[in-house]
Amino acid sequence: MKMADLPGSHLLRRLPVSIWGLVVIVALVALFLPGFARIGNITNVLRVGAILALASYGQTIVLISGGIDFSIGSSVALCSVVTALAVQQLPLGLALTAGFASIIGVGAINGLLIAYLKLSPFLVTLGMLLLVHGFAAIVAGGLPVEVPDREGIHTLSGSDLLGVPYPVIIAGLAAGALYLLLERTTLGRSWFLIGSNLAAAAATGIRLRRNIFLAYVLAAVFVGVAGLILTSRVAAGEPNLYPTLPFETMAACAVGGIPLTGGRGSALNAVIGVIVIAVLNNAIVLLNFPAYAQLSLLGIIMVGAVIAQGMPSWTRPSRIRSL
Amino acid sequence: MDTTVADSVALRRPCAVRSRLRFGVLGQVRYTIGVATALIAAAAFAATFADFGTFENAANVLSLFGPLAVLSVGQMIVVLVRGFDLSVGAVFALATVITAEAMNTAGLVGLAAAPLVGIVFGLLNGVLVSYFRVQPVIATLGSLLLARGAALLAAPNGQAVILGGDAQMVLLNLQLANIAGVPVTAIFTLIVFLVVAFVLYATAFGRRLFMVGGDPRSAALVGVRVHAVTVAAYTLCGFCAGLTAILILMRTGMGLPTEGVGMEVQSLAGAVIGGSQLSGGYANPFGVFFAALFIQTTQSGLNFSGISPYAAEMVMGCSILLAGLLDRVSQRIFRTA
Amino acid sequence: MTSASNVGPDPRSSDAAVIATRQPQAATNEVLLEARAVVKEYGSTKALQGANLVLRAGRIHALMGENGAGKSTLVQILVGAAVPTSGVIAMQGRPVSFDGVSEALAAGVVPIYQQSSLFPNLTVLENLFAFETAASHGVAGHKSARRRRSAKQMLNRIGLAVLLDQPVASLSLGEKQLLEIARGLGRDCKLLVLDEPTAALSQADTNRLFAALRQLASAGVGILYISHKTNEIAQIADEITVLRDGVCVISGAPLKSTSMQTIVSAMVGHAFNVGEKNLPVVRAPVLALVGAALRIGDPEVSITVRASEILGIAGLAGSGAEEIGAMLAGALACSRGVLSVNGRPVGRSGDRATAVAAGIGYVPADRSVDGLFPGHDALRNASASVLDHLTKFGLLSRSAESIRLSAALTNVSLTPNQPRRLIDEFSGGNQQKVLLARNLAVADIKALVLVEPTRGVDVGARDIIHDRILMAAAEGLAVVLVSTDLEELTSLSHRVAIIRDRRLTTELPRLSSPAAVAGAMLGENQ
Repeated sequence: MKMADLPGSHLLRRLPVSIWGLVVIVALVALFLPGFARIGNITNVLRVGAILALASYGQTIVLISGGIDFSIGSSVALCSVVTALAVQQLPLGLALTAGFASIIGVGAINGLLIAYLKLSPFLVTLGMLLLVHGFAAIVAGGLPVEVPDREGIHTLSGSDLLGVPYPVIIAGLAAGALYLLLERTTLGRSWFLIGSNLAAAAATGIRLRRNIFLAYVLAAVFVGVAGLILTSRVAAGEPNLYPTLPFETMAACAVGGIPLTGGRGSALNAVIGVIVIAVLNNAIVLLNFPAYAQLSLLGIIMVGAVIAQGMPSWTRPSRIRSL
Repeated sequence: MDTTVADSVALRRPCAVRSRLRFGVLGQVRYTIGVATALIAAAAFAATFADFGTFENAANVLSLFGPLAVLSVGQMIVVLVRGFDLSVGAVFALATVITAEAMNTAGLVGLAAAPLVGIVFGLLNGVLVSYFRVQPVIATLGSLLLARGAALLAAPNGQAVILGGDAQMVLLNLQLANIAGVPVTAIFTLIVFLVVAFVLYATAFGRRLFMVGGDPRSAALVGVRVHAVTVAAYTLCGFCAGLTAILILMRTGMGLPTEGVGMEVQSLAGAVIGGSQLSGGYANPFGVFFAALFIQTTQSGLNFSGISPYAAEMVMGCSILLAGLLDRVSQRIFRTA
Repeated sequence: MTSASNVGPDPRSSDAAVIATRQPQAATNEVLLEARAVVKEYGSTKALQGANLVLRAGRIHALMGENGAGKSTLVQILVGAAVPTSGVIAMQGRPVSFDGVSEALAAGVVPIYQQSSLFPNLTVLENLFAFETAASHGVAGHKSARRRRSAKQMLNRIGLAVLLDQPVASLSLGEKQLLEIARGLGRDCKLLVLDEPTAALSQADTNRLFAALRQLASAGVGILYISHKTNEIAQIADEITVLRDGVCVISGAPLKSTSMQTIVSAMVGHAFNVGEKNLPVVRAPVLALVGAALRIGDPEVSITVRASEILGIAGLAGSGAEEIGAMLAGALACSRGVLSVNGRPVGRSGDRATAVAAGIGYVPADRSVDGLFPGHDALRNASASVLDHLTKFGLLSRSAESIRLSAALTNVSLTPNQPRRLIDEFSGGNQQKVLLARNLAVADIKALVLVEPTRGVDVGARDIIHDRILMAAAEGLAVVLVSTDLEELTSLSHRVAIIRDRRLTTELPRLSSPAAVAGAMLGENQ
């Protein structure tokens, strides 16, 4: 009896290749690092990973639609600055809303430039990275803006429900929302088609400009949640809050199996990628590697994971399209 | 990933009017953006701030723009073959550390370490992108991490490696020297650009870079060794990062493992404002030369006038967006009658 | 075609002067290249299972076969782009093993590909010498006067009027294909391999190509000509090889004594009848384009298509025929004019979304560029136009998608009928069927515009697609067929509109001959 005949095997085939990597890594780490499998440690890993996960959901949407977003790091920084400044005049809830709105604003500008002015996503988000960071720094006056330790600022990132930190719950729910968005809405489906072949999508009657614009705006919603949690954690307006965030989300998406060329991807891919990176980061810390080794090892593993995923396609012939 | 809405739904009409002028001049428009912005920035600052438009200030700008310019032209070569290199900042930081230590040990000969480090990482990036088919983002991100880690390892306790002895004096003198008022570093930069221009336009290898960037499939079909060309492009970029390390060492006199953060974005900005297309196939070193001048002029000008240095960042961000817009516009003029 | 006594080139032609300085010419009929028992395996897939081919100097050898039969694989091996798993390739008697295209080129095997191998960012001149640039080691002499003269000669020979310094991105599809051919013809070669060279060419361009090929053959060059077009093969080739499932079922048979019926049957594997089609009866007007012009200053075009009518549109490359088809489908914005369906104007010009809502289907010319979604299965490719109608409570319903589109795919005889198979794994003909299914799945479709629906499609699938088009028309659709395949056009259309210089010049009635249509396209009097 072949593998393919086993019951449930069709579900197994639908799982991304990267999940096996995840299983292997988690198993190895759990087996060989005694400190890993404690509840406290795992909770911490998930808590740290939650922010990256939320931001990666946004990057996933953008990648699927054929684009890319470098401005994520600058927008979460802007969120923290705006919140920190607003909280001096407004109640906390409104201040956080203002911060959230600023991220949506950046997403909307990205969407406008890319969808309606038809500029390249790489270019636009790179330019916005600089623009928004500069803007946030100027507005903040060059130094982090402290948020007074007002009751409630740390709730979002610090509290938990039945032992599970809020950010983890939010990231989990958001994963479900992302799944629904991508697999069960016509908007989500259109992103796959747009990312796969833009001209063909236009020919089939898909509303390109509107849907591409919405991709960036909806991605910003996920990033916005990440920004709020980050702001809640640091309780300050910090222009240099998380400059490597866009690169980390790209790494997470790539490791999780989402091609950076667009047209394919899923919430599960993003989650897998984030967990792999979070677990590896944790393992490196637990192993007490010095700082230099941490960075180097992470780089090697990230590249290794992507190479490993790409290997099955090496044996396929590169066909000239005339056939 | 880099497809734009316009490319796909662009009207495919045959050109009714084919004039040599149109293709000759308008095709080069994108490269003039760099020149234009440099001139505008210089003029604007000179006009607004009376003391800015001095010879001294000009010389100052010229003495400072070298590192970004050389880094950007390396980036331009990689962008030409449809890639990009996020590791350049980390690589040149690593190179400064290793070279400082090499020079402290072996004297001026140690300078050779800088381009070597760059070449090693360039090779790594190139092989990953071409033979292992890793996306440039991931590959260069990985080598960025590797380089940062290596830099922290190479520098004792992660601290700066101060350049000492005779070697340090030689470099310092070079940094301060000038020929007819033009800083030696600026001349060095110009020579680098001239060499790059020669390679791109006068050698068959340079043409092959354009071919691989223009259509890698076609390049393979006509017999270009696409993988080899790609590796060479990334290696050249790494080499430029190595040269940048030398320029930085001349300026700061120390190897700092945390140097260069954000320089990868700036070098991409330099390449883009200088007219390179991120989708590959188009590059012009002189556009990049002036784009780097423009960025430096803006930074110096803002410094000079006491406006927040972050404003320079905003200006750079806007310039990238404007460069993209102008390129889109010139493409429309270019394609239709 | 070949006279054994006269091996040398005609000294009177200037091209002959160029040929004379080239490689020593093979004696006519000498075996130039022989492939014996060539096997090519990709993993577990056997693309070729023992192919044999004998190519002689001075003879034009046709290679035919359905898609997937192994033609492209064999060609890749011959031109050095692939290495056989087993078998022998011998050039002029000596076994060779090419390590890349450059080596094959150096040995005198010149490829002209179907898929463009040009560089849009480089000039015409640079593209013409791309092979040299690829192999050169030095400082380039690529702007030398000698090269420019050479380049001009190459262009003149094929009748291509473009500037040497023009970037190739500004050339039309037909011009690009001619440039590709000009580059191949201009090379020093013993064996010329052409893969579907006339796909985007007009009749006039094709005639010029054939003239150049005959000249080359008479000068001793061997030519391998791969094509789906049976009428062209009959015109130009001396002998034919037919591949099916990786094996040669006809090997080097002389064309004079082999009937087209035999050839097509060999390709398809069973008896095949090329018969006359019965067209449905035409009804009331449905699709109307009135006073339309693409750009300001273009002449106005007005076209009306009735229900159950198949309107053919014919025009040379660059005449505007494809653009008019796109305008009728609502895919191109017109500067003037109104597109209407059943009297109601279709919303924004050039917006396919409103056109789809109005019931206009569109199968664009280049399926890999404009039509298909790589990396997704046939089902997703087919459901793209009807997504909004597959929702339950606002969410996309997978089961509705599956039911509706599986039926649509079965209706177009998708082979193999596996809707969840990746679109990349289907042959060109089946990919085209999926595009057809995509449009026919739209419930209230009223009109269908097809541009080059069987370009690069094998004979079997071509027939199925033609039948489906007829069925669509019989069901009441107004069909517009833009095609440079004159046989297809004339056998399927109620009437054929001729487009020249963006103007509708004349209309030919049912069952006009392909020759008449060709003449009308060129503007000759009938």
